[in-house]
Amino acid sequence: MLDDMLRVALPKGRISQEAIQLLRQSGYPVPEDIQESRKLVISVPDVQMEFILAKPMDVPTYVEYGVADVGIVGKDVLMEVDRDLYELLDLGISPCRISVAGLADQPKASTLMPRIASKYPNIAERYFREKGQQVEVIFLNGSVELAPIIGLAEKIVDIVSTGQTLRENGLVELETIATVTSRLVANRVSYRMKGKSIDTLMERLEKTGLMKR
Amino acid sequence: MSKPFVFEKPIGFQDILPDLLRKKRLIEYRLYQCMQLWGYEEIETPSVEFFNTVGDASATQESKLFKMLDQQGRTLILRPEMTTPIARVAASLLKEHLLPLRLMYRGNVFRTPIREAGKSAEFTQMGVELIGDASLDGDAEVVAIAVEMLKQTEISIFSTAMSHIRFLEGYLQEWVNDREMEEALRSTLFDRDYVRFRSIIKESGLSEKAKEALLAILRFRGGLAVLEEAKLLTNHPLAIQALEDMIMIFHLLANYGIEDKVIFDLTMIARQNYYTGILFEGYADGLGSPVLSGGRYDQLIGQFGRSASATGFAMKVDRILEISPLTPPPANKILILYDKDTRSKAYALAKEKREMGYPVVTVYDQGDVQLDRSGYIEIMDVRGVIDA
Repeated sequence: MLDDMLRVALPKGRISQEAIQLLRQSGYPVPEDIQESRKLVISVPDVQMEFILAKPMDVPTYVEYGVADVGIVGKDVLMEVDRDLYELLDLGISPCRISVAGLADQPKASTLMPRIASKYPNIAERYFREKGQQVEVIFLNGSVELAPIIGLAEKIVDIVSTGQTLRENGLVELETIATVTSRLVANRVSYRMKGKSIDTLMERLEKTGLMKR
Repeated sequence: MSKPFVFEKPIGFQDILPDLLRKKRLIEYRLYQCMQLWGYEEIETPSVEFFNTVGDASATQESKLFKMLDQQGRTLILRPEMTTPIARVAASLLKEHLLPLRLMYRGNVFRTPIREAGKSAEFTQMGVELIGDASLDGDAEVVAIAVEMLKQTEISIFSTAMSHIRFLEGYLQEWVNDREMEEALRSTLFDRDYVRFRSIIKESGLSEKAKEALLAILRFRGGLAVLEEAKLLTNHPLAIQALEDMIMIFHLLANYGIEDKVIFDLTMIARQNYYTGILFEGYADGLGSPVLSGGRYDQLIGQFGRSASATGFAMKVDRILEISPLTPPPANKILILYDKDTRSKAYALAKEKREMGYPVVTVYDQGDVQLDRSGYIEIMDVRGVIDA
């Protein structure tokens, strides 16, 4: 919408807390209890902003269609889904890695096409293809660590931050595919039509980010 | 592969029912009138073209083209846009015509929906091509027509953004001077990955001054002041000329009274080797993607054998249909009911009303017809009325 309201899509889950903190520290009064509330659209008229809470994989969708002007989303999601939007800023929050992991005592692959389970099938497929390795990628929606444990797949491609979850499940990190941080993304029409508010948002987020380092 | 249900359509193709189509036709009529008033003449080209010629020259990516084979095994495509077919005509059937040529079109174009199943594979475009006018007046004219056409749709809030392909070419050459890095930067701008754009610059071995100048590109969005600011940061002749051209076009647009509808965004970039001058996009309130795009493409017609400059744009009518507040006038239909004795009376009455411009529906009714009587401005029942 080309009114003066800036609509921001925020991801639920892993980066939610840090994203909200970053916005608050940048002078945007996102309500503290935004996550407890069942409301999915929160209006903050004082700063002409509206916050939408969405599943991380859906943030790019809302932004691409323009119903959110900007969004905060992890680079892992951006690498996985191919959306037509502008990647404006590296917010530096929620750093982690997307890696290949497997059982600590994995026997040598005896199959022609090792199975890789992942919540990020596109990232997995692309990674192995670019390495010239032929694999079968199995899409799982969550609890991907389960796959090697029960024998569904030899390896997994998943987000790793402390490595705790992997260790607890007897898995080890084998290869790092990419480092991941959260990004500010924008709709291509909003980027031009609401340029000023978006520029202001970027400036403030950047300044806060610099001060944190 | 399951057999389609009888009502199914291939993915991306849709039917347009009468009510919505009436609105679409109204919009098309208004847009058509506008282009005509600017002296443009309509042209039609076939829905099917050769992949090797039109397909190759087209700005549309190959992966988006619908392909088929003809009887001789040559690859055919469904046209993905109208500009390249028109370029083909300008260089062949119209090659003896003196320039400039002012052509306009309305046509359905086809692109395969790569990602989501719902995205339209077939959509209607209307636009203009001004061929053989290399002047800035020509550039300003097509932008002015685009703005005027948007006004005709009665969408309340809309705008356009403009850039010039030679600006980045010159600016990057001046501040980077390394083909590979220039390409990498261009690529990030094309992918709209400004994070990567910034990191390439920051990690490069360029001077602080060069880095600042390059990062400044991201700020070049806004009014005329942005062009003046950019001018201070460059000495490259291509970049300077591009900026001066845009400044001039802005003043020309001010003469048309539409300077408030244009902003500049120098980060806007298109596929290399297609556009040769300005490029612009149009946006409307309520839509997350552009309603029109265009620019100058002086090298295209030459690929078909006739060197000629050209500029124009294409507007997505189906998107406009989604948000235009225009409503078509009511149909003013009349219903005439008759029975076996009053046929000629009914037909005569219908003819009279039709000649006056009313749509008339005649229905034979012995009293047992279940009829939907809504939607008519008048119901005339001539049953049982026999002239003496």
